[in-house]
Amino acid sequence: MIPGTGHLRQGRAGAWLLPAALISLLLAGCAAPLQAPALLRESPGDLPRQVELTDTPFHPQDLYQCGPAALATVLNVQGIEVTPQTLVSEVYVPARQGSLQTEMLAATRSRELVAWSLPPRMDALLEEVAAGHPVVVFQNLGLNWAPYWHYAVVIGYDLDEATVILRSGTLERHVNTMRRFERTWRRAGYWAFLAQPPERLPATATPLSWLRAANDLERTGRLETAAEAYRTATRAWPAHPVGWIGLGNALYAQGDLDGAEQALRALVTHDPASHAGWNNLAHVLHARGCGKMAREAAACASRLAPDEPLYRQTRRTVAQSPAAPAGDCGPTQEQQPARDLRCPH
Amino acid sequence: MTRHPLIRRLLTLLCIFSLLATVTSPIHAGMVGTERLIQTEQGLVDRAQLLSSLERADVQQQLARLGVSGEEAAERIARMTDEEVRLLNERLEEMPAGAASVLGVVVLIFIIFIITDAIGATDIFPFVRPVN
Repeated sequence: MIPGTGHLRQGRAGAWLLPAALISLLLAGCAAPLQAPALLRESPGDLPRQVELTDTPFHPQDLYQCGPAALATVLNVQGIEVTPQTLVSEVYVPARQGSLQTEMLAATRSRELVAWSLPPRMDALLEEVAAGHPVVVFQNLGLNWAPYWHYAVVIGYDLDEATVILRSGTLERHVNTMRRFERTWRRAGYWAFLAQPPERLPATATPLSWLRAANDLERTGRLETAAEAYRTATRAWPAHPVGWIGLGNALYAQGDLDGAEQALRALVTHDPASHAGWNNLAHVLHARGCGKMAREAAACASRLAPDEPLYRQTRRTVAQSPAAPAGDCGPTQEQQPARDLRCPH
Repeated sequence: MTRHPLIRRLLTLLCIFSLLATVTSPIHAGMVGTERLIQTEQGLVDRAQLLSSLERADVQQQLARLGVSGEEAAERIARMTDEEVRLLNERLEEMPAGAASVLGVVVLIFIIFIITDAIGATDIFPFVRPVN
């Protein structure tokens, strides 16, 4: 039986070897290589070689309060008069001697600004700075096993010198090599965000990343700002359905039924297959007292997506909606008669 | 202030409820929420991104060498939930844009699939499901 045992042992050794090899591969995969070298070798052609947003204000931090200082810096840029001291109670946790990332975003939203998270890429960071947007970055200035967390604001860079310029801690103009900066940023998971006015898109915004930031405003009850951010999305990406739905929902929630109807009509006009658009339009029409049109829209949503329980609920809701007397369904209907809206078959 | 514990508790509850009322967006229950649509869209984008990486000739070559066809790999992706696809993509995004390393990750992931499929033992990736 000795050969058999040998064979067995070999098999077991193989079973051990594979997960071990996997784990070592995974560990190698975790430490993603630095992006800066490739970026310096071959930087995007439209990226300026040097940028410094010298007008960015500076708030030297007190003790551990880099979070409030960095936040005050970018809020000031957006014309919001606030000092780090007043932000301490909002974003500083004394027991932790620091600020939580989520609270930094929440404090930004509470100033009616869009807190937009950057993609974890060096080129995106530089593009935003080149577009005139100072970026709040989260860094680990220490080591992975002995972290020293820090917030700073990137205000410039120099591709020829391979440097990044920051408002950081007590240093008004902290010039760091791009590699060293990236290491500290990478150790903090490449976390960064912008405080943007809702009508102005970040340079590297994608539809979903912007819509998610707008939705964070909607979900925290900042409906006017959310609606404005959604409107910005519909201007930049008119073919993307979610911007229109978001705009319609946010306006409906504020009681602006005309505005909501316009947004949702715009959606189903150029994307008649959007069942969510038809469904939500049915609710807006129902709220306006346009029962007949509401039932048509609800029926259309159901026809396009027969298995969606939400749409069956909508049909029940609008079933008893009284049909408005002719011409009573407002100016919107006169401008855009109902027959313009065609439910696809 | 009132000292009665029950009234105090009720007041607290009332405060909480009034807060909840202000933070949830007051759209009708039958309306499709924006958040849900964003999640759906994100799922589609993630899946398309992962599937498109399989269409590359170099990836297919590597897969063929490992004995996995492109269709098999696509089927495996089809079996994954949105959340699992997102996790995979995140791992891909951690890598720089260089083709070689992205290829390395895609191949690595499929090596993991093959091995876990074969021995059905490891639990490194919760999103890998046995084939049978």
